[in-house]
Amino acid sequence: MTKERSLSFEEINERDRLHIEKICNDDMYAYNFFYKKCEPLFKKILWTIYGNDADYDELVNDLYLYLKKPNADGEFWHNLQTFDYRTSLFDWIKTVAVRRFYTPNGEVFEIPEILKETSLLENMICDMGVATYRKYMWNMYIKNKSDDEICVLLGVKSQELKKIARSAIKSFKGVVANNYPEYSDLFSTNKSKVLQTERITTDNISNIEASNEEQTLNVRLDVNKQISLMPNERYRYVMYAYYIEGKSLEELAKELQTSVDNIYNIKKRSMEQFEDVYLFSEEMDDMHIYIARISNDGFRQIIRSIFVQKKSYDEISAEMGLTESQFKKEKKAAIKELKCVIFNKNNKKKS
Amino acid sequence: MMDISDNMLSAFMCGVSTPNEDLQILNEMMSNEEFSDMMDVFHEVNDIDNLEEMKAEFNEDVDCMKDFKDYNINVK
Repeated sequence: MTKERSLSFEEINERDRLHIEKICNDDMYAYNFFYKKCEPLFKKILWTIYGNDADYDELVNDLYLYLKKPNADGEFWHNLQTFDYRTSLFDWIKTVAVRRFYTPNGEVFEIPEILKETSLLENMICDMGVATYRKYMWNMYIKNKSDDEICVLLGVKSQELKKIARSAIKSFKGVVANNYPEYSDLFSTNKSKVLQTERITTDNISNIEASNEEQTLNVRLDVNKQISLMPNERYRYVMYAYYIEGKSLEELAKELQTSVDNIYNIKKRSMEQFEDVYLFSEEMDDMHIYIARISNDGFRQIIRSIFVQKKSYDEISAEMGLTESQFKKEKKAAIKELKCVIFNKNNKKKS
Repeated sequence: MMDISDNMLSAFMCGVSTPNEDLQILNEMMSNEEFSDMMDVFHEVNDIDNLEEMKAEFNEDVDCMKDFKDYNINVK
């Protein structure tokens, strides 16, 4: 079998020119190029930066729109056409993607207030497999030590610590996603363009009333406070703009320079994060009422054990005679049911 | 950081940048911590396994509509 000849730089350039010409003249081709052909590259980059915690669609949409942005004469793909052919298109797109996907301002990792100084956070860190990462997280977020102190403890230089920090946070998020999935949204951070929006304050208190046919429960939420606790800045902004300021999806799409479909998805994910933040906050005074309204006995037991009795997952699964995977599945369904009760959602699948 | 163009950065990462561009990027790395962190990420991305194979595959195929056509048929 003969080995295929590698393409010369000039040949690659010629092919790149062809790609760009087709992208600029054919939207279908452009879509297929960025969403299919570049998919393996984008996935690898996102995995490297964020582990399994990236919002792939949102980030790739953002990159696509950035490259497609028109110039002053209204000609689309202005940014793509700035490519100067000194490198291959693959390398150039890789560079632009890393630059767009990596937004340090939005990548600030914070432990949510509701988890600080809890044994749950300690357990999460203890579950981490790599000792160096575990030590970093423990000293940084439990012992609140400074970077310099941690460098001494770990015997590394400050430059190395940055890499350890990034990997430790990635590893931590992985542990949370696998072992504590219901908390994973609380740690997700803004991976996309950092929005220059005013931080949401907790000055105004709003109430939400939820009702259903059987019983009316007045769910009094400090909505602004709950929104401000949401870890993702973009989600926080969308929740505030849509639900508090009453902006339409179209207005938001225009403001955030994205499509209405994308805004709809962001809004949906924002609401999910809002529900999680509320559920795991200390504001849940009426939990016993909601638990009583869960129809499934097993789900009720799981929710009571987690939120009222504060039992560990191992204890609960042992008590209920469930394997780890069975427990995870049941817990997920129980929390979904609880959210339906609290937020008055219909849990039945659409026919 | 805005002065560093995508072309310049791509050229730097591929080792084809001019001495002036190298100097500009190195200065930025010295003075801008965020930029320096991003450069670390670039190096991590360049260390991805199979990246060269992925690049070769990317460069080989000029007609990326083929997959799309298949996808289109499946939708129908």
